[in-house]
Amino acid sequence: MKKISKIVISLLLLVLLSLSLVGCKQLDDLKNNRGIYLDESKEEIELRGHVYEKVLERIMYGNTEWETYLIADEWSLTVTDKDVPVLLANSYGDTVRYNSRDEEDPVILCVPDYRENNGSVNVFYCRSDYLDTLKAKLDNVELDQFYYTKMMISEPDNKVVYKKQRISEKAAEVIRKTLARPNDPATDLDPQTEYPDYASFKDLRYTDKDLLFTNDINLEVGKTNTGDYYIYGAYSKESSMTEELYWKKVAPEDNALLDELFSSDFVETFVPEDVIH
Amino acid sequence: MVGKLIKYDFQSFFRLLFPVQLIVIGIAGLNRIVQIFENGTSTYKTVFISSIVLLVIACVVALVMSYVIGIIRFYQGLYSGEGYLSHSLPVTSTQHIWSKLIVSMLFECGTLLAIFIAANVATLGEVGVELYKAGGYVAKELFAQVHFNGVVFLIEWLLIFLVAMASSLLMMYFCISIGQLVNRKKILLAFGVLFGLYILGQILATILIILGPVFLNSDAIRTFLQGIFDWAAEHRIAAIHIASLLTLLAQSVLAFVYFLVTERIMTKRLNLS
Repeated sequence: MKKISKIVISLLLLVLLSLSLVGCKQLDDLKNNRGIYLDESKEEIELRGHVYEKVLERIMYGNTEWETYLIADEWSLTVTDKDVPVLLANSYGDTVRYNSRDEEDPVILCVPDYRENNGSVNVFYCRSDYLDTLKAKLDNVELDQFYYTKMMISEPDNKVVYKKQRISEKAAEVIRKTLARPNDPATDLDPQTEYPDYASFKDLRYTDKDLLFTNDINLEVGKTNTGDYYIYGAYSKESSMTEELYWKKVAPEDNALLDELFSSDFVETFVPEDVIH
Repeated sequence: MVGKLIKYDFQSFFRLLFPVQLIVIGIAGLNRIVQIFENGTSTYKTVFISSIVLLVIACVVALVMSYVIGIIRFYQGLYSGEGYLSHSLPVTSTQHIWSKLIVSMLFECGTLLAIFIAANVATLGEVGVELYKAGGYVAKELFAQVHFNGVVFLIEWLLIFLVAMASSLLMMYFCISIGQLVNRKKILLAFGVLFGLYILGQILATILIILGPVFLNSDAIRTFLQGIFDWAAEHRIAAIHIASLLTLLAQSVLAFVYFLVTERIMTKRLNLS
């Protein structure tokens, strides 16, 4: 019944879409924004004349740089099987998120794979001419940098976009140093019983110097009302399979280096010419 | 004789409606020509949207005209001055009604066909091809789900459509026939009957809404209804068939009642004064 309802709704949308089509240009745009799985195994995608090959899922877990300057309304790619007509791409296809670099065509595609029992998993595809570069980067990746997501406003039309903002090397060094030192009960808090009275916090993720990769470790930096900084995360205890949560206090002399995370210019504006496609 | 009746009515409808149908197709052609000059300017968008709006309005007008002319031709042909000639022919009331009904339905279908042709003209080219591809894909998916039931569904829904069209026209004939029972203000009475039918429908619906919860308080009725819903959920295809057939039956009963009353009035209580 669900499939039949979907089919009936697709038919109605088709009728409405047929009235709204401006003409061939809109059809060309639809074709341009539609990729095709080259076979049933979905190992390859063809999009805008390029072939994209699947890379291992876990290597590129989480976000990639496609979130940089992404204006969701304007960029809408779908990937479908070969036999799906272009007008039904949105109904029968997978919506793709993709990165944006200084090129017209995206380098990396992220296609959610909706698995029946396990929810959805992101599957990554890399443009075939960039694959060797990506693999070389993967071989040498060092997730020793950190980034947070910054909201930006596109000025003429006030659209909200999100940018991955890498923190400075000095701030990153403070975080690395704090995470590396052993837990100090005298200064650190037990998250089971204590909670810093922080005024604001920032979510951080690990990344590499190219802002290309990340992992599934979430960090949180909190600033208290008294001006202290804490880093919240999890670490594995020695000879233990479980992870322990912690609130690690940043050394007072390093507090100033983390002020950039809580700058008052949280929301910036930009004009579309600055968007990197 | 019935054949000649139909032929005469057909010619009458043709003179009135065929130009309208041609205009609809012509506007579609105009729309397609506008698309040749496609560009990103606001002028083009304004012109294109205007042509689309014009096409939609033309389609609606054509449909309404087909319907209204069918009703007018019934009244004029059987209950006005022309009725004297019509009822002097060696044709029964039943044949008169069938003749008018068949021709009205033919031209309503003809208008729908004209609109379909217009849609094809307006989307001529790559857009039309993609639309057909998409339609074919959806149909294929549907038939993959329901198999041969798809054909049966199509037949059922086509029958429902035709019977509903007939029922709608017969309802108008019914109203007009009752209206002509009086000597003055016949049209007004016909509208009054139509309004009365509408009000009756609303009253019945309201009663159902009010009494529904009262009936649902009964455990037996609730259990019975729940059983029906559970069965329908388990046998969805069969449930859709049954619902379609019930709809067809309801429409047929209504159409029959309207036809019967109209025929009786025309036979026993004809008033051409």
